[in-house]
Amino acid sequence: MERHDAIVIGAGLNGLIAAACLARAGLGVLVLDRNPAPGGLAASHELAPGFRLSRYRSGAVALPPRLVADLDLARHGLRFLRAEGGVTLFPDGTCHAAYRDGVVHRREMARFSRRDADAWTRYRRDMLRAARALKPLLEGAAGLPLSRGFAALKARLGFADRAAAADDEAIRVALRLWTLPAAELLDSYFESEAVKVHLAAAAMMGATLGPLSPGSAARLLTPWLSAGGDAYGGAPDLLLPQGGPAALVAALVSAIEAHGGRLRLDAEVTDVSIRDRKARGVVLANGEEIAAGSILSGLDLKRSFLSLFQWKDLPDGLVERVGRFRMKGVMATVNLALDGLPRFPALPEDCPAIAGGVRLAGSIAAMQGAFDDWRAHMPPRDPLIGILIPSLTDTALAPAGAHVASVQVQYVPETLHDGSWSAARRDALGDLVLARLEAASPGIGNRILAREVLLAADLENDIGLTAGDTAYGETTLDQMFVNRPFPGSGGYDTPVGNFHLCSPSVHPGPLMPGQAGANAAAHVLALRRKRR
Amino acid sequence: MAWGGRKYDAIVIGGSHNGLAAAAGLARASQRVLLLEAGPQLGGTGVTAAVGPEYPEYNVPSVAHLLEALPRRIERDLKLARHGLRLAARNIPTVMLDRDGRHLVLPRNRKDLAALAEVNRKDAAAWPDFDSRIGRAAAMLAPLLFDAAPRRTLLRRLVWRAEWHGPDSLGRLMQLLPQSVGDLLDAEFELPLLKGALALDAVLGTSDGPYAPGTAFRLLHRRAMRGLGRGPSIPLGGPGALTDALAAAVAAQRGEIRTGTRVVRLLLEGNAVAGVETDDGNAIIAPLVVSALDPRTTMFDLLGTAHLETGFVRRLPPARPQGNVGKLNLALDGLPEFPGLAAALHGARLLLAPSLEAVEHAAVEAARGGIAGDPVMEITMPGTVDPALCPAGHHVMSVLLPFTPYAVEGGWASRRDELMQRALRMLDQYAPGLSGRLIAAELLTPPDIETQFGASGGNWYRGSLAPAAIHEARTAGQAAPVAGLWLCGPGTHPGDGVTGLPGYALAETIAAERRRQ
Repeated sequence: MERHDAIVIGAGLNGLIAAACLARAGLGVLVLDRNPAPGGLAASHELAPGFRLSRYRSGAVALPPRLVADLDLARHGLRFLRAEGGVTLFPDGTCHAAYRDGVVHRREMARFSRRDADAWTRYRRDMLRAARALKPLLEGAAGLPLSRGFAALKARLGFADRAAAADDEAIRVALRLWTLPAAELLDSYFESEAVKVHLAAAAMMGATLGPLSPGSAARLLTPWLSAGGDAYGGAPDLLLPQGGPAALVAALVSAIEAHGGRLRLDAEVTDVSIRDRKARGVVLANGEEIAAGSILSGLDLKRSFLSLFQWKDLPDGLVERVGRFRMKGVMATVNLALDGLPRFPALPEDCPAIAGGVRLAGSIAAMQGAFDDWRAHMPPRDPLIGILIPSLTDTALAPAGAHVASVQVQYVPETLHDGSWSAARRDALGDLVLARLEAASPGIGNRILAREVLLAADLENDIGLTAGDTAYGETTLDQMFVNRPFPGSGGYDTPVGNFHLCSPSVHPGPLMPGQAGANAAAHVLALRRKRR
Repeated sequence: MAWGGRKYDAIVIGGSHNGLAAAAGLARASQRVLLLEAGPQLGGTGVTAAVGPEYPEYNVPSVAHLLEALPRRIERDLKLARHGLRLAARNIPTVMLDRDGRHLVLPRNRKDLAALAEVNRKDAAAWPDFDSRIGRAAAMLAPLLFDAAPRRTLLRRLVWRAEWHGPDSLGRLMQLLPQSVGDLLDAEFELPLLKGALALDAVLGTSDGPYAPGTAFRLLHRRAMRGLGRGPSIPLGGPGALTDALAAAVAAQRGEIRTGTRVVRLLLEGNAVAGVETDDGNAIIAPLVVSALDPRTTMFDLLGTAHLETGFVRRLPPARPQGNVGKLNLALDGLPEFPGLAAALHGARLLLAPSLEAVEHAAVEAARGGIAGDPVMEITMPGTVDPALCPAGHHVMSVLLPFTPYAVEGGWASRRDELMQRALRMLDQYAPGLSGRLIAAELLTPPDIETQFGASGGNWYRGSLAPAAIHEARTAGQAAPVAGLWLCGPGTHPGDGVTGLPGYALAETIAAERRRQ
């Protein structure tokens, strides 16, 4: 029987990163994926001849800089491009743009309110401080050891002492950030609705919460966690891999192969074989068995346990706990091939901030209304829309002069309360989105060469992501940090020996792309060292 | 402005339960205390009054109808029993009303549990473990919530307590704190009635629906709060009786109370409080001023922004959100019949929340400024345990209407009747013939409660606290920027849900500091 040091199931971003880290440490690694091309969510897709984009997830993939350096991805051809800010267009024809330069950004804010422009400095400082406090927690285990024993107790007491020693102001900011509704947190800094909607709209993309739901404020932190966060005093920029997420995938594959790792595509894992409560190998769809010392799953938690194992082999209660892990689809995507750059009359000519994405948002109340509709499983009436035109930054993605656009539609339920997502309803959603686009950019409808509407169910069918949840599990605090995927689970270990999770279903989740894979690999390496 | 001589050691501003408890506590520590209340009566929303001016013989708790958590410490130290506080019913059970008459009691003993098992065996089996888990978690948190010890001590104590309760308890607590009560209950129970009641218990008084993150914490908070006292009780004579007993406790220690006297500003000498100026132009001198008003009112209106730093203003507890609990008071010509409800349970706390979805629906509707078609309710019939409230054979009913928005779409003037009709229709479904027995009805919307009882924003239901508010409360009281000024109003430690404790705990702190000097 074929045997490897480690098998990684799923060639998604985190699976590839885990494999690259393990291969670099000298392990014989095999990556298995059921699709003909690697990448999972980040896989490249040709929408029309010459128009390439990442089908399911466009936009920023800001890998932790240390990881990029450790894996030497630059040598494997990876370059990052900076894209500025982002723009929000309001229904009344006005707009709010974000700039990386602090002076320009504050001047933009002052158009709405001078006080808000002043408050930006304070907001930015608090966000950066919270992001800095969080970073060490993201790069390792989740902080609070919950296991038995004296060492763990001592660590817990130490944790309590450190928490107590933090100054009142830091505790105040952290508590507010992690428990308040986004709207309430923004209220304590800004007075202009436009400023608040601009920040909230960006934060709510991908969230299973509304701007008035407690805990949604933490979403505001995400852009500040990425590397480019604090460079120029303005809004944080996006880091886009040159060539799209596909280029990132290619660089990782190259890094794996350079270190002697192997990739096998069109190879679906159907079972993980267990002996003595330990995983010993995998069984492929064609019946082939491959043995391995460690098995890492880059699939989401539910798929990892509910579809790779015989349920009777799993410890008591695990199936129920996995079943209770909440994964919810919240977005649809409309991909467009355009024969030219759409014009947005509300924006100044050649506004650079457009590269950071254009969002169409009404008011905080409208966003919450869309969230309420989503919770009630109603077809969206007034969804939040984000448009990214990656070909603005990266001209190679489309023929000269032409562009690709990825439109994310937020608060689209995975299932409907009154029937299914029929073809007609899918088209209706596409038309609704296009009508909103047409209003923001008259004439865009005539520029469309190709369009496709992708729902959460498509993600589940195409790449096997449960509920099409691109966050790999809701990111409310009861499913984050020590609680991800469930409390006391120890993060990267599972109740099945030698079987580890390396997808964002474990700490730190989607907070930092790629970190879950890197952490899982580091954990596996540490275990092997200890065993030796 | 006339400057009187110094007659008092301390002035307390505001005659709410907190103000009264602070005054009584200070007086007990042999301070000469003067309490000033702007309105004509003491007690804020803790008032017993007639259902309407034409029906003076039907008395009902106007707004608040239960003592959720009267701390034993206050009851004992201030000798409230001696000052006239009698409880008509102590630690009353909670009944989950069922439309088909299969009412259930939130289990407190084996009999209740057996009744639950008859309806759903699985839930009855899960209950004892769930209940003790919530109890343990609440006990672990309680010091952090109510104790004023330094943070390090409290957090270490939490870790040790968790150790004592078993290795999983800290992990469970870490998950429970940020969870939504809806998810928590969905994982534990099946019975919609049980889930609806527990969810309403958690979110009553807030604008959050049961699936909002952090609502499970509110369940813990309420449990911990109830643990301070002896469970929800109905005072003889209604909630006004507690106000009277606290006032009597102040008077017994030769404290002085003046109603109808508004404080317009604080007088300062250097960087210390010297006294207060009242609306009749008098200055009252005292080296110590305790304000039971909202911290923002105290700082901005009484002290003035000139004395405040920006950083301090930001650290003040945020402005209170608008209230969203309305009140319906009914006078009835007989006991309403809830088919299937045992006679012994007529004095109980009746929860009308058929399912989690009903609570969620009401919350979403309220957030949009609407009124739910099927409102959820908390009902008491105090006449059954306190017959003196109304003529013999007749009854009064006191109904809380959670998720009644402060600003309703279209304005309350045009929609009062709609809410009243919906509530009565709902009640009629559970107690057929109830509206036929109606003598008088009084509906108080949050704006009504604001104007009639001085609860700012109509926010009167002080049942739960958001997690961030706890830390803010802890730092709020100690942070007054001038010497001699103390805060015990809403949003100060340990939070407003607990009757009088912020005021009384502050009085203890001050007394301890005096002794040290």
